[in-house]
Amino acid sequence: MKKLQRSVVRRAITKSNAGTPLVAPLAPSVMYHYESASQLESVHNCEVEGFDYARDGHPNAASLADKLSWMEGAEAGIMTGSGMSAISAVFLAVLEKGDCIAAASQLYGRSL
Amino acid sequence: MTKNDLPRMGFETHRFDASDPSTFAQAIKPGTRVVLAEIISNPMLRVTHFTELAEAAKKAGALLLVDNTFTTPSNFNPLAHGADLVMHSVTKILSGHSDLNLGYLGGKDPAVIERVLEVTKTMGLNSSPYNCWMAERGLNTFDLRLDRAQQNAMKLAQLLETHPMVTKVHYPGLESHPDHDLAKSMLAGFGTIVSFVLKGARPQADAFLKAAENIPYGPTLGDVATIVIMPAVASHRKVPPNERRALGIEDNLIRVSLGIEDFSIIEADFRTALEAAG
Repeated sequence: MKKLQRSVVRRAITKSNAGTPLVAPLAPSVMYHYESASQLESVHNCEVEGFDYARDGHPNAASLADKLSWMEGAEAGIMTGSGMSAISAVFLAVLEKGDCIAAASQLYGRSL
Repeated sequence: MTKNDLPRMGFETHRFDASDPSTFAQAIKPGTRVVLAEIISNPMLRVTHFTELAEAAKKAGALLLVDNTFTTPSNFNPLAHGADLVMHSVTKILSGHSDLNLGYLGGKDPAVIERVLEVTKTMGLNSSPYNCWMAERGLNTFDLRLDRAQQNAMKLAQLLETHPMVTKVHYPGLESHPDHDLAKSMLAGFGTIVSFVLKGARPQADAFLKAAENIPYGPTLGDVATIVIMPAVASHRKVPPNERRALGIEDNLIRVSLGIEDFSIIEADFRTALEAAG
């Protein structure tokens, strides 16, 4: 099979009068504050893009998930605390009472 | 997870052999919500018959979730071949430096990802900004690291195959591998992991590992450095011995995650250690 020709190295080009850092900044903040309650409300209602509380999402996860989704050809993607939490999250989100799972007999030991 | 934790909550798990499509229909049927598979299995490196697996999942109305960590997005894209969801341990070769734990989940249907995202918020399965930031830095060199590690994997597999102290080598890039033709038609590269069985038993494996003192022994893969482990006492230590052996995981099976060192360094370390095991 032909090797996929892709690169994630190119930086996002945005313009700012104060100069834009070439490297995406680290955003450790847990909280994102807004000038008014209604501004935060419109973030909650997904009317405007924004962050609120870091457990729910943060810029570093959004930027990395975008790159990985592009590499995988995914329409949407999210970051999780570990690979195992990605698998756990799927099961917790989609399983309904009485459902069955089919799993390969050879899997990573924790997935088994 | 699928053997103990989910059945404890009432979700029955049915098994299939991903390298044998004749086992798919009895495990994947109406009522199956999720099908979980890898593309290259750990640690035996068998290759999944993916077209048939995706068809079976679709027919049953199940979501096909693929752990693509071993394959990497450069070698195979499950979503383009019928998977609904793809996940990675970003901890491994994508970030590449064994200095963070991180996961990724991607999907074809944004509504499914949105539902999973809500669960990560409620259940606290979120990522940390620092780990994402570090992983994004590592990702810049992913292509280079993959190319080099994959070349090293092929060279090591070839070296091991001709060595008198080795009885079996598992690497999909070798013509002797049972899934070589499938791997060749399906994948853009054969990956960075090689497993092999040493002549003898556990004492020979211990001697090998003792002599391979420059190669870290431990439970991760995809690092810049070559790392070895014995799956029977590491990733599969919780699997009962009889089940382990049925999977082909013998006590003297050694899994190697190839790093990006110059191959001559890897070769010298392996030759020394193999000699010590003899």
